[in-house]
Amino acid sequence: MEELELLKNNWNKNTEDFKEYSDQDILGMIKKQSVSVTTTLLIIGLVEVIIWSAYGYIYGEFPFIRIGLFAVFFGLIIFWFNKIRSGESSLILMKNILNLRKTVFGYAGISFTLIVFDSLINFRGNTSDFIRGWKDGKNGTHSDTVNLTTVNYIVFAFILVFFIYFLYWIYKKTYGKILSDLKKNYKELSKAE
Amino acid sequence: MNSNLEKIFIAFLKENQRIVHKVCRIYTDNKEDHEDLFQEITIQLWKSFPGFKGDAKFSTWMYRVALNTAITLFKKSKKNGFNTEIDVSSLKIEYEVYEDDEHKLKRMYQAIYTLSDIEKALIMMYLENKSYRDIGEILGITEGNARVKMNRAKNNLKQQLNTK
Repeated sequence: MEELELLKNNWNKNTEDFKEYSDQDILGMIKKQSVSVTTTLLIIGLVEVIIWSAYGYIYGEFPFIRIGLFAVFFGLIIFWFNKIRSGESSLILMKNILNLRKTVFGYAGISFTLIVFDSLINFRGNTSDFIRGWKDGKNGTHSDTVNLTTVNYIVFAFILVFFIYFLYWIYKKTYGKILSDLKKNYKELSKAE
Repeated sequence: MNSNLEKIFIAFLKENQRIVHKVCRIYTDNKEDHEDLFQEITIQLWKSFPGFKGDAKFSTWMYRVALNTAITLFKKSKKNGFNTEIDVSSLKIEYEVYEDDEHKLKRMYQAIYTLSDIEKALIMMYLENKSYRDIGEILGITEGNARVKMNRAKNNLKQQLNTK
């Protein structure tokens, strides 16, 4: 095949036109993974805080605790992120990844625990709101009080368990995924060391 | 940069980076994709580096990892419904060749881009003047199988050229 032979003859010509990557460029590439994990983390965290703020806006309560929690932890996350990005040795990178992992775990853990405790502490009030809303919606009425039965509590408890499990699933898919990526990243680096 | 392993890896890659560039050239048709693939291959090379025992030549090992990365990546993007639109008019042939030859080379690249990912790897090995033994080692197949697959890839390429 004439064209293939022509290409073969020209294949190794002009290879000096390829971009020549320096030591620093290559180092940046092999560390990129940790940096991209942190970027994803930041995006997920921001989405979470936006959702909590929207929730707070709808119910007329500004979620100070959540915003505060987010600010403190994300301050820490950005601190580790910058340390990871600064491109020092693998050992320092590994230490920073571990610190970042602990911070993410702490944030996700506290955030989720707050949801569970909040649901338990306000269980009675939440049940009342839910059942009242459900009855009003069904009958087209507007009532200020409702008589709660044991069955109402049991039904709401099931719904709450399902809702918490759903939240747990979301956390697992977002923060859980990041934690496992960081762990994998750490393992690969320690194997390389 | 303290790690010795990092230093060795970077020195090796710097020395052999043209291999990665050539793999990128056969699988991508624009600068951005070329750079993205280069980066992806570098990450995979770094991940696999601790497993490089030195029983094969560094360049052979590099071909293997780089081609496998490109093949896996393109398989993944096809699964995700991503289709690379080949804009051959943007393909810049920088060789010092006659206009007629330039046209032939463009047609050739156009035909290569239509081949399967494995066939692209085989054609690249041919252009690199690799022996069937080396091809077998790089692609993880037997020497005989490499010969058969190479003939098929060339025939397929010929067919593609004739239909254009």
